[in-house]
Amino acid sequence: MVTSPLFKFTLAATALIGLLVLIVAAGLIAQKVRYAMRAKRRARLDELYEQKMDPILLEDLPSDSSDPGSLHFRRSVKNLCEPLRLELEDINAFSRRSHRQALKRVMLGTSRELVGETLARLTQAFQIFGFVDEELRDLGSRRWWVQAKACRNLSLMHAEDATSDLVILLNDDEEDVRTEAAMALVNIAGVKDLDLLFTNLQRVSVWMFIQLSKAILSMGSSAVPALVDSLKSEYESVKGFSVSMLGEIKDIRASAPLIELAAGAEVELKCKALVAIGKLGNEAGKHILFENLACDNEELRVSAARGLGYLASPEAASFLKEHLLQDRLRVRLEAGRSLTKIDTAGRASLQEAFEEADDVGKKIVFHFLEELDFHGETTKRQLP
Amino acid sequence: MSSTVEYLELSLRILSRGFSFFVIVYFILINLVYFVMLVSSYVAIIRYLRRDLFCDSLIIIQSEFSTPISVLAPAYNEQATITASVHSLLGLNYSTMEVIVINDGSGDGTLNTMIREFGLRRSHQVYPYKIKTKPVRGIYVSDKAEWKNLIVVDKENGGKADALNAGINVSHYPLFCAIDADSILEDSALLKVAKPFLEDERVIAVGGIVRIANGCEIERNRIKKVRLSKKHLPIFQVVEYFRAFLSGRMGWSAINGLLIISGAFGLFRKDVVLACGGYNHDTVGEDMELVARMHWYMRENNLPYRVVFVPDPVCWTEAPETLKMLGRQRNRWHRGLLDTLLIHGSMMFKRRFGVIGLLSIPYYLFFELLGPVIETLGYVFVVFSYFFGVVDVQVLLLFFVVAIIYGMLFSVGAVLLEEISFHRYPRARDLSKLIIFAVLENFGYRQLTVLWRIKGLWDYFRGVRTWGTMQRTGFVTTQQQQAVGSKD
Repeated sequence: MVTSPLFKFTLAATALIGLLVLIVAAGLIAQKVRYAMRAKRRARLDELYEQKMDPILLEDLPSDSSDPGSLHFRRSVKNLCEPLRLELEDINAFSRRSHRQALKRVMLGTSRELVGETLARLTQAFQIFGFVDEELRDLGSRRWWVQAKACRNLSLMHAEDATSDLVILLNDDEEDVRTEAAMALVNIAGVKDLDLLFTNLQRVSVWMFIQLSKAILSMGSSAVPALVDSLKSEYESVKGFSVSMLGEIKDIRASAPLIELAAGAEVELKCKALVAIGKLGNEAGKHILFENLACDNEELRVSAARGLGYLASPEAASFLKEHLLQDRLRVRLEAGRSLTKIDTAGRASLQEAFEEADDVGKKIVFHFLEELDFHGETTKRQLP
Repeated sequence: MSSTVEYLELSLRILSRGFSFFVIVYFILINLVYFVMLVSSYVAIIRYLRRDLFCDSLIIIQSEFSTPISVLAPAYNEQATITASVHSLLGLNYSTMEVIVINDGSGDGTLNTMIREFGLRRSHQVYPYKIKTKPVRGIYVSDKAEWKNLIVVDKENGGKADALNAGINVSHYPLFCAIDADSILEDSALLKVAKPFLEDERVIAVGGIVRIANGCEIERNRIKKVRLSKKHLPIFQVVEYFRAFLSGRMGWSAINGLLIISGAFGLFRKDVVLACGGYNHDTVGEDMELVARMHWYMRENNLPYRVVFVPDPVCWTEAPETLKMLGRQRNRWHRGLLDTLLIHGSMMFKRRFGVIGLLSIPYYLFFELLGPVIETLGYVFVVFSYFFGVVDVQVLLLFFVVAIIYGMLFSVGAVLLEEISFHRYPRARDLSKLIIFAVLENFGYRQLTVLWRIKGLWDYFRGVRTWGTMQRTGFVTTQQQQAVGSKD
């Protein structure tokens, strides 16, 4: 047995695995050291290129180059970049890559802190050094993380040449690529081409929702026409996103389209529309809210009650009180919460409801009065 | 007489051959599974790290559209540490969240300490009583603006599962995070663990990594510096946790076969948990049992779903520092595993339960639950065979060497995963220590855990269903460490 081939093979395999363990262990330590050295070298190069970027960003341009869109401006920036470009070309091919990477890193990092003419210089310089072309190439990469990173970089550098490629990536299989492409499109195209985003977008996950909402909300009322148009999208999640944004922007122009949507058949969308109508604060929307508060669907009743809370119309108080007194627990709780948002009429209705309510109702009302710091000892004594 | 001896010897030889064959097949299978998991974990971790580049935490923190989270922290007799823990939880980075501390009938001053510290007043809020629990004695909230998202539920003692169920009833948000009140969550932990829910609506549960805090520098319930403990037992556990979390759970998560989300840190979709009936308070492994039941529910109803493990959001926990405490912990874990497998074993080898029925449950049964039994049988058999001279000593030694080398490979592999991904132990000295302990754990420590797990099985069949008391020394703060340092 001891001399059998199987035994020898096992012995050899064991020795090999043992060796592998040793190599891995040694590799781990080496990796730790390498990691530290690489970080140091990177920091050194970054510092170097931060200094080299200073003249490009800070030196005065000729007086005829003040308009960032003009040919003179581009020519002047090109002249400023020329010495650094030549310097990079002189570096041997082996080191050039890491130097270019450092320059790119510095430019991308700086872009977050700049605005106006200085940012225009930076984006121009990014193009002059050939980084835009590199990133455009990366958009076509087969590796999703390279694509996503290129979207982000092009977005930071406001590269308008990327628009058509970004539109294609809006419906990529990878969530991060889709989100980065959408964000880049919003940043590059801005409010004027917002339609481009909504007509091509097919899916909006919560993750994309969160990211996009920040950009869209910062556009304010100017985004409303595109958002209203997107309510015609055939994709539910896109419509859902637009409804929520319209509710947040609170522009009166959204009122009619949202009411129309709330009269539709899709429950989830109707729920969002009802809340958005309430947030708009336009009295024109109250009838559809009353209508849905009286419907058979619990989800719609909850949303209508919530919407009425945002609307805060005194007229809604009696309707909400009715549902606070008698409905499913979720609707009762929502109705109670909404009544707290309707100042005097709401509080009065809550106090009336306390007298008329059953045990559960009394507890609900008491809790909300408590939240309003509005309860007296009398109310407390009557609590079941 | 001599023919009887010959007969006995022949029987023993046949038995020896049969058992040896079984052990070799078992050994090859288990190591193959571990190897596949190590490789798939590596791929999954690299993918996770790439995705993490595009996770802008600040946006989630600032956005009111992030899915809100209820953090549930059951507390039982934690008067000494509860305020620090709650302050730490209230300081977590997330846009909309509430912290619900469930005082599970503590006999000490846990509740009063919280009432004093946070200025709590009794609230009469009404909530849907969706899961049956022991009676709730009162709900407390604070009027102070900085603690307006704190809710304290005071209830009669019913155990951790019952406390969590009470917390679920009171919670307002669609996601809840179950944590141990005595653990430390990193500031960004909730953000990281919530991301899978934001990206994919099929996700129903996410587990985060649990790491050993012993030896770390801690200030105001936050980890300040990551260090290894000076004691040996916690270091063995650090390596063990790497293997279990980074290599094991990450691998299972990649194929949607994750069966355990640690009770110390997991985020769940409330509607699914409610549909499953909440936590089961008749088991000591309520965390694993819930996840198994969620798998069962989703598969049974043909609903698309994912259970995900995220290797980055860190929950730091105090590991037992004595053999007695560690033994009790492993005993309970093994009883919990057996209980869950007995409850959900019917999913095994059934195609409609997919990866869970065909891979996860068989793996946990044959390798995790029965592994210690087979290993112990092997040791007994070896001794027995040696005395009867039916085993070749050299072959035997070789087998042991192979087993140990493989053990080392997977432990060092897990340390490698940690180092190439998160490298949370910045000092080369700590890394070297981890490698040494990854080798050393095969000589004694592993065998001890086998014994504790066997004892767990024995206790289970004797009807022991209790948690057993766990004494914690409490986290050592930076100031305390400095004090010790100056005394030295």
